[in-house]
Amino acid sequence: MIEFKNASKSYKKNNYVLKNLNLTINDGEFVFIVGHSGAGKTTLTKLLLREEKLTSGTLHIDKYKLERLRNFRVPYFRRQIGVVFQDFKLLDNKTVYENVAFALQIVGVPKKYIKERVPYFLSLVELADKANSFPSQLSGGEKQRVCLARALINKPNIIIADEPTGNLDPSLSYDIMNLLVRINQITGRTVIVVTHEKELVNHFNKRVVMIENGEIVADKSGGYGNAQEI
Amino acid sequence: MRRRYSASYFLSTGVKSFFRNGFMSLAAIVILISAMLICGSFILVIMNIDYNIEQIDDFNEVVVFADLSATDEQVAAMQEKILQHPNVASCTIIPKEVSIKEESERYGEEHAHLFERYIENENENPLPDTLRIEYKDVNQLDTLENYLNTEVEGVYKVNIRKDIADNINQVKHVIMIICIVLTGLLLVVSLFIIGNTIKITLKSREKEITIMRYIGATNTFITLPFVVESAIVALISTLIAAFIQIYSYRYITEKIVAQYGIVETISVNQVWLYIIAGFALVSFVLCVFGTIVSTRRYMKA
Repeated sequence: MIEFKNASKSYKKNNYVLKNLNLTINDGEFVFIVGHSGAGKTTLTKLLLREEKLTSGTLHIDKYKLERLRNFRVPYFRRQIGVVFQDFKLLDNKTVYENVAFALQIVGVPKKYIKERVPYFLSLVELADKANSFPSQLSGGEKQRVCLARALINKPNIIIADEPTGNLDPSLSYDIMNLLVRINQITGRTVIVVTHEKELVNHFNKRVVMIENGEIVADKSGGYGNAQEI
Repeated sequence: MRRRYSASYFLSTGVKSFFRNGFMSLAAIVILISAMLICGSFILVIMNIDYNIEQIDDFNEVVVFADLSATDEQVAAMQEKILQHPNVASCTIIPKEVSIKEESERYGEEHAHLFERYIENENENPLPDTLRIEYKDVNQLDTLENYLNTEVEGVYKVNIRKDIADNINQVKHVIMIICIVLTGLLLVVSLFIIGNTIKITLKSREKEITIMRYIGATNTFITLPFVVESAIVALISTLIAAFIQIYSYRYITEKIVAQYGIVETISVNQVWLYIIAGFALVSFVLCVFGTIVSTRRYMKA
């Protein structure tokens, strides 16, 4: 479970990017975090990944109390979270297989398990036939699916997708989002998608948390809808 | 499933990275070799100067004048007493008859007549018997002087060329200070250059490090391949620098210095092991320390 309580973040004195945030996301939920540029979505993502620390308030993710989490514990916390980036963040000099295996290597998983798990997760994102391709040989959608496989392979409890469709054309965007919904339904993992694409959000009919000027202005199920009415 | 990191991962990643950053690795090696050769050459020069100063020490002597009334037996007893001091290498008695002849020779034939009556008549010789002492350690000269003045009976005067001894000591100290300061400066410059080289390597791998951090890699996991990479740089630099230093030193000492016989030099056999050990220590410490300092900025949580 993710729980923000009276959470605020400021980079400069009295200049708050997030103000007095209260938000609870239960295990297995699928949540869209929406808002315009500069609304505070990126800061929220950074807080969830413990890239930034809260200025005041608390943030608990499962057993981790992030406002008190010491730096040397951060890597172990991050292993509970899978991240999907807008710019994919794939290593160009590694193949698709190596990019996905890399996530297991760095947490010390033995080679034997890597050989078993990587093909399975590549087939899950329908990229088994591209295992030996390099990122430069893939389309945007394929790159994002590699990114997704890499985020999933460590079996995290939470998946955070930061603008996952930002670099994709509309049809590919729906493919990726369908994949995320399917992962949420099949595996029961919590999925948080940070986006500003209204049509896409409405299409999936899920819980939507809308942020404006660092505050939650809407939190409702059933899509974006007409936010001004809330 | 038990999770553990394999040493082969760090080794292979470090080696791959070394070759992938071929130009930067080469630059770091060249810089490190240059720094070590400059430091090494400088230290060898200093060691040889020091060695030669020690040779000059051997010519230093203390002259003790016996009382004019001292008998041959008393002078012999003085010699025996002086030889008991631990800083005395040798002590030779110069009888007053020999001293007056030496003085006569020193002034030349045209003044020889002035010395004739003293040489012919022993009782009229105004010079005392003399004891010439060669000492071992210039730094212990004060205790020797004190010993001669207080413990040895029949001493008329002790003549110590303290100014020479002091000058030798001062030269040694100045050389030592210059050596320490210059070596220190060179090491700081080397550390700075190696640190920058690592930073450039890190910059080129920033994306990889960012991904590693997001996925949950620990700082040790991220840093170790860089440490391996810089250890390879240190190893290659040590081997090449030691080879150049030892062979150039051997060539200079055996072919040039020995041929012209200008100064005494320390044999290469006495220094080669110290050169390798010193270079290895300096390069590994510089590389590993430089890597850890440079990677710290990228290790924030």
